[in-house]
Amino acid sequence: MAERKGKTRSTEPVKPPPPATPDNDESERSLGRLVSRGLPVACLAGAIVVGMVAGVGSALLIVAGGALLGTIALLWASVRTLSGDAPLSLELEALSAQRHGVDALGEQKRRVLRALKDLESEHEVGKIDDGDYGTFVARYREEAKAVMRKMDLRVAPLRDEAERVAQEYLAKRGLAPDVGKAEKPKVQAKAAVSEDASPASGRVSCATCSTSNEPDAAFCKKCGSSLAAGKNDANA
Amino acid sequence: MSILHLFGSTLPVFGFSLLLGVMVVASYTFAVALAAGSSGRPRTLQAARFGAYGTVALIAVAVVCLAYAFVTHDFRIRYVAHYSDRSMPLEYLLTALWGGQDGSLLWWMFLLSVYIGACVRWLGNKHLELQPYVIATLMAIVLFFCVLMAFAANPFATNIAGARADGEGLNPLLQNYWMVIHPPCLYTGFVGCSVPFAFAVAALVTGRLDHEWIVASRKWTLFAWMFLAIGNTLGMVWAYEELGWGGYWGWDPVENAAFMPFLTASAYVHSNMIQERRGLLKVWNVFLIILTFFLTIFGTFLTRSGMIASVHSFAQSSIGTYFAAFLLLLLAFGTTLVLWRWPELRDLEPSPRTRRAAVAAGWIVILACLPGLAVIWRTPLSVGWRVCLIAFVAGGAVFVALEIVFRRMTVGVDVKGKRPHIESALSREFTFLLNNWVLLSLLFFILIATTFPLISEALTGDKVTVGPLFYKAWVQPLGLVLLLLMGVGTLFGWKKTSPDGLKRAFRAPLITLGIAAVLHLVIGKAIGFPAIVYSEAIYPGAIGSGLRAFNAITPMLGFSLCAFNAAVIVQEFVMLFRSRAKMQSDRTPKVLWWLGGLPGFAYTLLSLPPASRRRYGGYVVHLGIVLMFIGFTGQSWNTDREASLSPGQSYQVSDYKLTYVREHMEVDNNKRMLFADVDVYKGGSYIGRLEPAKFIYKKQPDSPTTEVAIQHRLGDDIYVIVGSINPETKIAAFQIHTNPLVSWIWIGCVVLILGSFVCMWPQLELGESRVWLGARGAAATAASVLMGIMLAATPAARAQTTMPGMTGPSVGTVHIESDFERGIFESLRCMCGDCQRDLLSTCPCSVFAEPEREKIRAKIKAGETREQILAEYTAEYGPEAVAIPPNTGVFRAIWVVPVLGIALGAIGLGRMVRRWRQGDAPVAPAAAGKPGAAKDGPAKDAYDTRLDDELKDLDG
Repeated sequence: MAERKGKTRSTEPVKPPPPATPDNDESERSLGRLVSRGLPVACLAGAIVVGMVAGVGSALLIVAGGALLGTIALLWASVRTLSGDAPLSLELEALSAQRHGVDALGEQKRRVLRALKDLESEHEVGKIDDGDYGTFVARYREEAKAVMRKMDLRVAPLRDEAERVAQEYLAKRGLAPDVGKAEKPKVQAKAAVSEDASPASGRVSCATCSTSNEPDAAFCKKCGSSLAAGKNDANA
Repeated sequence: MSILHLFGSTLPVFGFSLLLGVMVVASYTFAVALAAGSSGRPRTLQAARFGAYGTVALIAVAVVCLAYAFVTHDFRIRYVAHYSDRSMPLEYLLTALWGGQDGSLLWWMFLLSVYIGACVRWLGNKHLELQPYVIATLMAIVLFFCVLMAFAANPFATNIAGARADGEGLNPLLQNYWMVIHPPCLYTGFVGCSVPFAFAVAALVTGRLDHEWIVASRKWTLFAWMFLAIGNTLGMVWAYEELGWGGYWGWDPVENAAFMPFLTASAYVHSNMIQERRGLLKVWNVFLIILTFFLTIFGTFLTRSGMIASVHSFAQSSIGTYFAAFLLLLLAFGTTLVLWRWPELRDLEPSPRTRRAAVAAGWIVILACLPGLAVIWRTPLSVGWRVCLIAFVAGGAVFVALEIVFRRMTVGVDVKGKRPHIESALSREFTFLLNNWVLLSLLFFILIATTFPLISEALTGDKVTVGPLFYKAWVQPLGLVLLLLMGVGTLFGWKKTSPDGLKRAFRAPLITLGIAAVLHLVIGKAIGFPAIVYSEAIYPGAIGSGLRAFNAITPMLGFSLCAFNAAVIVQEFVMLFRSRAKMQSDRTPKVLWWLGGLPGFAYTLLSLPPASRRRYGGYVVHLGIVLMFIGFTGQSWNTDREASLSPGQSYQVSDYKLTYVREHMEVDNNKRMLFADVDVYKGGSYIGRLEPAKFIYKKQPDSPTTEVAIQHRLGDDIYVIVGSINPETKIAAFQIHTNPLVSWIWIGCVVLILGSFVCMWPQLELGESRVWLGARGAAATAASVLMGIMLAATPAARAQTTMPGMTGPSVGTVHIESDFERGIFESLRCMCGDCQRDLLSTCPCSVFAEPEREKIRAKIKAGETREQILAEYTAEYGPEAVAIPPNTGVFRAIWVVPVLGIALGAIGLGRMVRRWRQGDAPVAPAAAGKPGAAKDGPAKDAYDTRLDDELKDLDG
């Protein structure tokens, strides 16, 4: 199985290892899945059968043996992963690029939003009166908006940079041959960005519960009623 | 077959090499995890994850091997020979896995490995930055246990004298069904504290100290907390049902050790909410988690090292040293880590300079202080002066260090605006702080009292004994303050509670409190629950009478505060349902309400948005605790009677009439069972038959064991023990306890578990249907319940047929004639040397306790006072012999130190809140100074809409 395959490979250093093709990787992944599911099942089934025939002691031996095999397989997998021979799972591969540091602004924003939400629920159950509620909500909204503004400011240069890279790429591909045309989508994109932030951004409000939904939503995210009717209205 | 034979013949060696193997694999995983953390490569992380799974599997192999040794009666292994014999049924063979010290350490490691497996699996692709360090920390803990077992407590060690023909068998006290399930539950709680600890360490190492680690470890903390509660309650059940002294909590060091982490975990469960909402208390939360973990290890150390006498006596061994070393390492590591991250923890801009300053200042203080303290200790001053000086110097040094560090860090930094703030002291934030203060005060008190024998020995050379009477007198006030705060805290809302709202919120509960108190005063006595119950003062003098006066009104206070809390909780739920009705957000199917209300209630709770669900789940937990407090209050009204009856005679105790019908004998393979059948009547109507018994084992015919018979009722339990039955006259000596309201403790625990489940109910993940969510939660609950039932039922069936929970020879019956006499016996310790910590009121030995009791009875008859008798006993056997530390000289420290600590805590709390309130000031004008914000008018609207949308998307 996994370990044997690996062993033959390591004992024959003369032969260059086969190139890691996606096919190979996929077969190894499925083998891994097979072992990780099959071994416990086989081990437990074996233990139950042996337990019925030969008593609890032997069944425990089977369990111990199975766990030992599992240990070997897992450690082998660990070493192979470490050495770079084994393929990574697809999700992890996708995630390998994403690593983000502490986002102080994001944290602050989350906290302020939480505060607003708390205020809302305390107000609903009547722990805080309208006056205090108004003051605090105003204060926290101000804070939240300040944070959001800061976040936007921080993102703005990156957005321009992305814009530029996209344009360059399109220009290289010849998809945006003349400059006038290239200018146009940029403007549109900018408009879209600002529109996204504006109230008239094409968001659809639900006819039943008046929740604001994304422009392309087919059903309301809160109550689930169809948005087709509302959309038609908006289009009209 | 030959392979099997080979395996069998080398099992001890194989088992030991497995332990070494675990050590190697855990070290490998530890290294790889650290590498993954520093490199940030997912590939390395994946390798560490595989390594962690491998460690888990290898630990499982070791445990299964030990189980195999038990099942095959491999008496070459010392542990197996010591804790099992050939006659034991399979269940108890497996129980023996954690019955002794060496095995319980392996079992501890096994549970830890189960947690590691579950945690690594749960982590999946989440928290990629924290993950490596979580794994590394857990591996380090595994390594500690490996080292411990390999060098000090090897469960696979062989007998020096070779294999025996048969083992010694498990202590009969442990052979009962509560003992089968109580330690695993408690261990599950203890070990569970490692996971939040690992997250805290990971957060400290990576510097990601925002809410991430708190959210990540939330369910793990709750789970561990719940199991600590269950484990402690099961311990009470065991003591109550099996030990036969009529109570459930003896303030034994082991019980205290199990209770202390529960207190810190409870404090953390509350304080983390403040960090989540405010970004405050970052240091505090990290401290609480580290302390919780520390206490789980410390408790084990205290009881296993044999430093403090306890009824749960494990054999003394060298593992105490290892535990002490680990604790020191833990302290040093934790302190350094916290100091290193001090800037981030205090929301300051981190720089290498500040970091160095923090760590250096911390360590210089510690290292410079220690010799100084040692010098002070050697001065010829009196003990009291030395202690005061040391406390003063140490406290001053810590203060100076903190001051220096903080000054250095804040040079040129504008802290004013960054300072955390709260809007009002009339807020849940503040009441949570108060709650933390009381919980930690309680912890501090119990910690000092538990370790006081050690402290007093170091100070004066005299080892004192701290018995239940002392705890009862002192802990009651703190417990009641906690109960009060639990209700009051609930009435406040986050941020600020408007005075009007507060008045409204307090009205109904306060009225309930008043009515309950008045009712209790008026009719309490008539129905057998008098509002004021006096007991003997534990000390002569003002403090003693003050405590006595307070303890006397405890029943009334306890009962009315329970009523207050119940009213608070009911009111909270009424408010919830009212607001839901107003918002028309209640979508609970009506059918569920028609099914008796409870299903509808449960569905509504579970379908709340996560934050609210946790909140109202918490209220259900509070309800459970209120019920438990009702049970604890019942203790004040316990009655204990003694009666010698011949068949046909009756005895009246409070409302009950007990009729001794007859005695009968049953015989089985290894014992004779002598039953005394007692019919119980209340007000003339028959309630049931109790069959207390004496079991006489063939192996030990001289020390018959005592079987308790209990009639459980909601109002009170009738608890009957038969002391002796005369074979000729058939006259039986009974001890009859009525224990009011005890059942409510067990009911409260069940409610607490249900509430915890509400808090832990899975969240709706993206792209998941509601049905699937319900199925997941229901499956988890059903699985746990099923597991609980199976766990409880398998040994129970066995226990009823062949092993009616035996009690050991140490538990017998003590004849006590009056309450005055009981008060004295409860304050004196049996000095026979065999029993570890028994009091004269419980130790049945005929060597010491019986003659002593006779002597004291004679003195009582001669008219001596309680103080005189205690003083004479002390003079004869030393201060250790009195279960209440004397209220003189240095011994006063036992209550002076905690009281001072609690007062200092209160002052610190006040200062902190004042600072926070000041921090609030600069924000207010910013909110008022709106013109600045109004300048960009159009942007404001845009952000407002975005804010609204994000708020709607945020769960409640």
